[in-house]
Amino acid sequence: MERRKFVQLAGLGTGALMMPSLFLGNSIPVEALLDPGMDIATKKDDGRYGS
Amino acid sequence: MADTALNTARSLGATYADARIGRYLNQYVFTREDKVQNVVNTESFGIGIRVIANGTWGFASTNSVTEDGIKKATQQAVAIAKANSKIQKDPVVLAPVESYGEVSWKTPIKKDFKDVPVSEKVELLLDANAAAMDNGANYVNSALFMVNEQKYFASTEGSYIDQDIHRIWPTFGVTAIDPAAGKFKSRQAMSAPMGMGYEYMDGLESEKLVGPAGLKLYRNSYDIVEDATLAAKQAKEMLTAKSVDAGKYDLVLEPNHLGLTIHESVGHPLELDRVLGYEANYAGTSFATLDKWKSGDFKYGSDIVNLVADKTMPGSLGNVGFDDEGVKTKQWDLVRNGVLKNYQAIRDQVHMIDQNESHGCCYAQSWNDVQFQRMPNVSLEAGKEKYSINDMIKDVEKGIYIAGRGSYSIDQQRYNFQFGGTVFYEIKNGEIVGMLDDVAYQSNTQEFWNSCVKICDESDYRIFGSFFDGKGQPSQVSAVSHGSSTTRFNDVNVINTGRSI
Repeated sequence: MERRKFVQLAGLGTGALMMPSLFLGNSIPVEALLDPGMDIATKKDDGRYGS
Repeated sequence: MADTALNTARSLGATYADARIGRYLNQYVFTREDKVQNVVNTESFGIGIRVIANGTWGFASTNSVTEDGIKKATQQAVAIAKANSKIQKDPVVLAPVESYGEVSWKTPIKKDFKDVPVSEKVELLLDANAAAMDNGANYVNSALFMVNEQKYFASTEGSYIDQDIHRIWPTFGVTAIDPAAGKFKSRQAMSAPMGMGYEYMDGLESEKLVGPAGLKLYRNSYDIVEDATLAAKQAKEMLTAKSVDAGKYDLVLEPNHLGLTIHESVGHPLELDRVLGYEANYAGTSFATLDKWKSGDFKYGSDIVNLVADKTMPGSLGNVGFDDEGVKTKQWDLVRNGVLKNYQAIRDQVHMIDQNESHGCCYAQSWNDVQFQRMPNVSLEAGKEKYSINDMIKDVEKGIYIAGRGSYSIDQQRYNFQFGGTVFYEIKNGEIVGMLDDVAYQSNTQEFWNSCVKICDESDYRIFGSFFDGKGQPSQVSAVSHGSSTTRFNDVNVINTGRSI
């Protein structure tokens, strides 16, 4: 979603125009919201290094 | 993955490193009258790596969350730190922090917005719009903002912190027009953005309060259809409301209104980086300078004013278990019995105010942004004696009751200000006598808080919030709440904002 359109629809102040596009993220299908994402073990350690 | 960053940083000479793997999920639903304008689902995923090398901060981030991508980003962070160290005058000093090991924290939600069908959300917003239109609105738009931050933090201090954070903000704007008079009036929602799940939309009767003039007020559960119905009626009423006579009034300020005044006149001026001048170029400075704090007797407000900072209040936007540099969150005093006691500071700042424990209010809006000091929840403690809104109204001879947020302005030191509101009611001899229009009050922070004479008790305590509070260069947003009970301020200057010059 374009930042300008988001700010317009959200009725936010002009300060919100400073919001970086990454804050909004990439558009995804609604079912992708239910994807659990990366598991904790992988987030911590890739197995190559000791902690 | 996080260990790849930490070990790479160590091997390159960093004395400290932290890695934040962030997955940010957003869903926004926008409607207008009987139409859906947009449904937005977004995801942002990546890792931010912060290091100290040669006593200097460095930061880099990447959305390539692979061993190779993380190594490259870490190398860049260390290189930036080493390059910047050539102009660094004093090395970074970090307050000690406990090593928490592997821990997790979740917003205690009852309904995950991701499990609720979009159709249900759309139906609710359209029901609210229809209620507004059926009750006299000419236009209405409504929106639902829902956020889930899945954040994993690891640092060379030995903490591995997994957090699952939820926020929700339902809101609308209702407009009524009078074509003959060429006037229009709008009334915004009385909801608050909350650190809750979709259960906030349940509209539980047990969480409703009835305010003056039949105003419906909401605590931890919001009835958007009911609020939209009343909003339309009030927008119409505003078209013929009496324009306020400028002068001095005793103000009775409802929490959803007072929260914004707290945010601007207490939250921002007590950010330590702002006090030190670091924010002068963008956001401004602060009147609450270090000499006032060091004096130990600077009267920020009257004796009954107790303003606390926290990141622990359930249901609040700021509520997390740990901040974005791995510090367990807590509550602390900013103003106690009217006296300035403390600021908001993080690990690399607290030594500047002779303290050795971070306040735990470090935050980054995404993995792609470096974390820095952000405003925690800043709230006014409720009155200790049993005292209701109706008790307060009865005690006022000439006053104005103000509910909801409105247009405002405050100077760059956060001292002189002006605040409007959503709805205004005139109080005469202890009774509400009618709606007012064109109201704004002017004061300065110290005079205003010293005019605080009475605070309702805990039963009236509610939360106001800001979903998109801005700070920093490059600018970042943050979500923060402000709690209070209805509060009285005596003899405040009220201006008429509709007056022709």
